[in-house]
Amino acid sequence: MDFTLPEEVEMVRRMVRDFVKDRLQPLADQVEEEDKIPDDVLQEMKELGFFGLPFPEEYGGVGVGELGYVVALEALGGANSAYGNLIGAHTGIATMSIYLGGTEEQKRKYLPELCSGEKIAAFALTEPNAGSDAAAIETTAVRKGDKYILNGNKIWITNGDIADVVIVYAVTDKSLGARGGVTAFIVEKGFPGFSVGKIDEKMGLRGSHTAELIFEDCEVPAENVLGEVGMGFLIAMKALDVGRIGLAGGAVGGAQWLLEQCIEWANQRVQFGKPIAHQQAIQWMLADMATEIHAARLMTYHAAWKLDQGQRVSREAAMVKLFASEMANRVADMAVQIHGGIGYMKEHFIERAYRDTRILRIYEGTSEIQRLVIARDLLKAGK
Amino acid sequence: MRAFVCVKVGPTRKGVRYSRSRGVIDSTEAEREVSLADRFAVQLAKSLGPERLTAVSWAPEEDEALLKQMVALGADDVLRIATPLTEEAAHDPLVVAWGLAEAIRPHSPDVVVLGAASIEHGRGAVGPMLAEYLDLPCVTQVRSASRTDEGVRLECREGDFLVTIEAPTPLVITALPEGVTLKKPSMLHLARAAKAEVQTVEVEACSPVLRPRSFHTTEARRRLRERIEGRDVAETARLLLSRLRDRRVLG
Repeated sequence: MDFTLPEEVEMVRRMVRDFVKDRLQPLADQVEEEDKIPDDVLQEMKELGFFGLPFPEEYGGVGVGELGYVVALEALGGANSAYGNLIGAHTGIATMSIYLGGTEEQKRKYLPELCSGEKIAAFALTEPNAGSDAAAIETTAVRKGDKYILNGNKIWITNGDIADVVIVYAVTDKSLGARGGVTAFIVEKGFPGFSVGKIDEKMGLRGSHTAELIFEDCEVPAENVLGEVGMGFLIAMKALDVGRIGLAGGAVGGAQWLLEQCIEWANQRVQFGKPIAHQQAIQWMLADMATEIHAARLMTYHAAWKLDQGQRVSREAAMVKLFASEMANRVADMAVQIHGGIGYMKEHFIERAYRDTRILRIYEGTSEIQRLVIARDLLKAGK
Repeated sequence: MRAFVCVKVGPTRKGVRYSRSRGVIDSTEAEREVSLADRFAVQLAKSLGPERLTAVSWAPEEDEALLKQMVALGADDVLRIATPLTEEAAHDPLVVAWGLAEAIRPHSPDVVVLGAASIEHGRGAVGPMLAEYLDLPCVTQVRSASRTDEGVRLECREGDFLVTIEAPTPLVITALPEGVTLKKPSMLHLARAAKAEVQTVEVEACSPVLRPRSFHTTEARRRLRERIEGRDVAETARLLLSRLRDRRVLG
């Protein structure tokens, strides 16, 4: 077994790490206060290729596969969560939906602009009555001549307010349910009847916006059916499989950064006449953090590698999402504990990280849904 | 234009530790990188629009991945000098300059660019030494460069002043990363660069105690230094101002 990262992936890792340190970390407070990624930073990220990492060069991507994408998201872990969130929604699930489910013509049309970041994408599945039960979506799409008419509301859609292209999942045949009754559509900003509703106030993730998307007799050309009619739910599940691996990469990166901050703090914070790093209670927490991060990293890299080999990864994707997101929460909790009172203060980055980490156990499938996916796969396969 | 840029891989500052027990500065655990000065040198060489730009380095095989990054920054190919250097020799600018000259000379370069800070901790000695070995003029502390019909136009730091020099090629330039923004390669360029091939060249090892016997000034180098004389101070000053305007040092 060779655990060495491929050369191009290692180059990407170093580049993202340096970009985070030199460019993004100095802006951390600004992003938090203004609830916005600065335009010039966004532009730089586009030029550097952050938006098309896993996709082949022929579609305008960087071509470093899922492993390269995961490693880049991990390296982004030292920055505000807003960046990883923007990329995760855009690349990991929205653009990925087109790459996995689109026709060749649709890929040629949409992927280059999405990979370059010229256009931003969003993935719209969640609805007021369809969260974990994604098959319960109520947004409808009815064919009318050479168009589909969409009606319904999507909520908590990451990048919803800035997206130029939205992958919308809607019911085309209620009698068929999720298997054949849901279709994905590529909806562009400016299509008649499509508008952005309320932008949400969240516990954390400042700088990354989620919004309500409203479809009122929204007209979508029939050629914008993603792939084939009735294949929407399958495309969504496949995209979520891939997205979960990327999300786990971000969780590992965030946790690693917290661990490094804790080591630094433990070495400088003096109590009882010596640095708290000398206390076994602190040492054990650091050891637990490092061990869990290491395990999550290996699981995530393995899942990404397996996907790059063209193998099925539903079970592994659910496992890494479950383990990495819960691990990140435990690490964030210990990070607050090690920092003590200062870690609870609003002005401190540990407090921000604690809030930002909580969502990992919820979005792109809750921990409970991941356990369901894993258990069903286990029982089906018998091993 | 056939251009070369000399780069060196070294430890990052962050990873260098002082080992109290051994009483030495220990960089063995430090991550390695191509210095900012050398990365700027690649950028400067690229700004001359050469038909071919080769990055050359006296580096061990383990540093090949880092050398490939020079392709992402704009080099067309990478040449690694494979002859092993002793620790002592690796810190001798004269030995390094000699090795670089041996590797570059057969290609008849038009321009050779080096970073201002290299192995001799920013003293900028390798550039002029390499120029002597290649028998070429050398312009140091260059902040920006562009190509002209007859050679190159260089903006250099001279103490507190900036001087613009027009120089014929071939020549050696040492680049000063001052007041510039270093361009970052995109991840696509990095991914492509990872697939680049590194050519290796062996040069005959020379003694680390090698010292120069003499330095001489070449004809081409002499042309860079022009003596201005008038009948009196006023006329000399007028001639000087006129010459500076001709060379576009003054507007």
